[in-house]
Amino acid sequence: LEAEAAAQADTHPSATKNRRSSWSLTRITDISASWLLAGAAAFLILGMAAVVLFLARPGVRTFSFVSPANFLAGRTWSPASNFFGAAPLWVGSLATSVLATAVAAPVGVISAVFIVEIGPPPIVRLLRSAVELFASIPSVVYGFLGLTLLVPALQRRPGDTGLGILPAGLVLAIMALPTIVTVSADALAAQPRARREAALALGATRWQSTWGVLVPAATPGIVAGVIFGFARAMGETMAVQMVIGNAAVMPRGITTPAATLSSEIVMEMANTIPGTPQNDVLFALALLLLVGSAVLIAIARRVARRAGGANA
Amino acid sequence: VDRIGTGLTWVIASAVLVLLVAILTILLKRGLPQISWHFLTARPSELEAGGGVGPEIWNTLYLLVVSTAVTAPIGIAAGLYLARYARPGRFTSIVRFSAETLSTLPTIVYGLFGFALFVVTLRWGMSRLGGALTLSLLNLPLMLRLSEESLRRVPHELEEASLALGATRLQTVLRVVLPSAVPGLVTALILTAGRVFGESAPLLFTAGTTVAHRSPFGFQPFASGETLAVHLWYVNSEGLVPDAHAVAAGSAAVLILVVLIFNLIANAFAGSVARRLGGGRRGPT
Repeated sequence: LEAEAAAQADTHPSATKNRRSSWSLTRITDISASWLLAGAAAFLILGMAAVVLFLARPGVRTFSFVSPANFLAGRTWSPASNFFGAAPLWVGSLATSVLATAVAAPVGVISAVFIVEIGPPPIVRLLRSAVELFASIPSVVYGFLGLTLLVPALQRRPGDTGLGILPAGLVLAIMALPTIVTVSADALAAQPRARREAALALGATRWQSTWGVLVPAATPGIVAGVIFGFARAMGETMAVQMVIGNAAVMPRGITTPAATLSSEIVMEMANTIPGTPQNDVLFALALLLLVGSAVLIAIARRVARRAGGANA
Repeated sequence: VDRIGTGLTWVIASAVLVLLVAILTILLKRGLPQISWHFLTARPSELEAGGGVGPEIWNTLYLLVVSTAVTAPIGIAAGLYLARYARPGRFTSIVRFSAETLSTLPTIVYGLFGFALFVVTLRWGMSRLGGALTLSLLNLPLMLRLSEESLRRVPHELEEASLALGATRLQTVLRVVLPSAVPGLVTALILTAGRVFGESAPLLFTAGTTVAHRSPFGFQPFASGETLAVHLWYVNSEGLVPDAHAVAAGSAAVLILVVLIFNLIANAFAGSVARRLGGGRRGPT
């Protein structure tokens, strides 16, 4: 919205004045240049359409051999023997993301409060760069760490694999943390100064003004940040695939091997031939993932926009 | 309660810092001893110990250059369009919607898209070019957003002064707007390029998990091109080498070092942008 308002401001009068001048060579290059730039912008639409098209074609083909209801609710995932029930996978995706968010959200929101309200500037700067760095560590590196540190630590009894939803959720918690911290810190920082000062002037302690006034006022933004973090966790692939154990069964606990939508795509892609039902169904999984994350992002955007409206 | 609450936020904040330091220390402590000239240049080995990651590093750089060469011009041009040309309307809002949607897609979705387009439809097989183009599309929304932001920060007065002097729109854009936004654009370039190093999910089924056997350090765009991040995954999950752990630790350390370097450079550039805008003395001429 902000960007659009700014774009409106950008069409300044000098442009229209130029348009009236005569058709010279420079004028023609000027116009073709603007078409070229519009073409570059159109490239994004093309890319978006291409992604949807190329996923939808094999994805939709899936439903010629399995009904959407059986695909979503079926509890047996065994494509090799033509059982295409994806429930174990999306349950796995949801379970890992819920666990990750449950760990990351409190830590993230408290860190955001520290950044905006409490920390002295040098430490806040340090924390901000730490969060940036967390965000830029490659997902395979997180997976490698999980596999070599977390998984052995979880092997309590002989026979334990240590793999499963628990290590996946913990690794994802670290990966979702930067999103939650950044978005919630922005929401807190957007609170008008007057609101905080009013609370303090009424005799509130910093604790009361922070948790009684500022955090509630910033709640929509914080919720949006948490949903973004959740979506990030759900779309994550490689780190999860490395620590979850890749057993596509209904999860019975958080310490037994399981699988997610994305991890199963990685596992099966190499073993299947394009054009076969076994391969097509993976595109249906990707579509499910795409739709799920699009819905989450849309909800988060709506919540965040409401927050923006309330502050204005 | 005030004290306890404040104390709690301090504890959490320092825990986050400690966690990061711990992660970096562990990665570097395990990985640095593995890094040698041999490790960085030798070919990987399938079965015996002692393989290197030379071709993987070469492929990563190859993909970095090719994908950036595609992303940067399109991203900057589209950013310029949205920042300086676009009027609100259906076209602009569809462009924005597409960019936002593309930027939130899970990376594995890009992997399947690249596979369906480059490997299946165009029959390229696993190829460096397919991987690079998949990454280009993945990076495009970020490049667009960052370059639009930095172009918007160029003050309007500069542009109007140039137009008032009789310059055409294109001259103004090329000689005034773009040059003043250079530091921001370079930061955008570094940030998007940095992502190429870490990506693996979009590359598994497009650039592949093997290196070109005949000339692993060549330029052929249609040879398979496993990158360092993909290799780190591969040796951990499917690799058969006895020293998989050492190779993985070394690769992880190289990746982390690259990430640190890219972050430092990007921060330095972002800092120079801030100084430039804050100082205002060194106006672009």
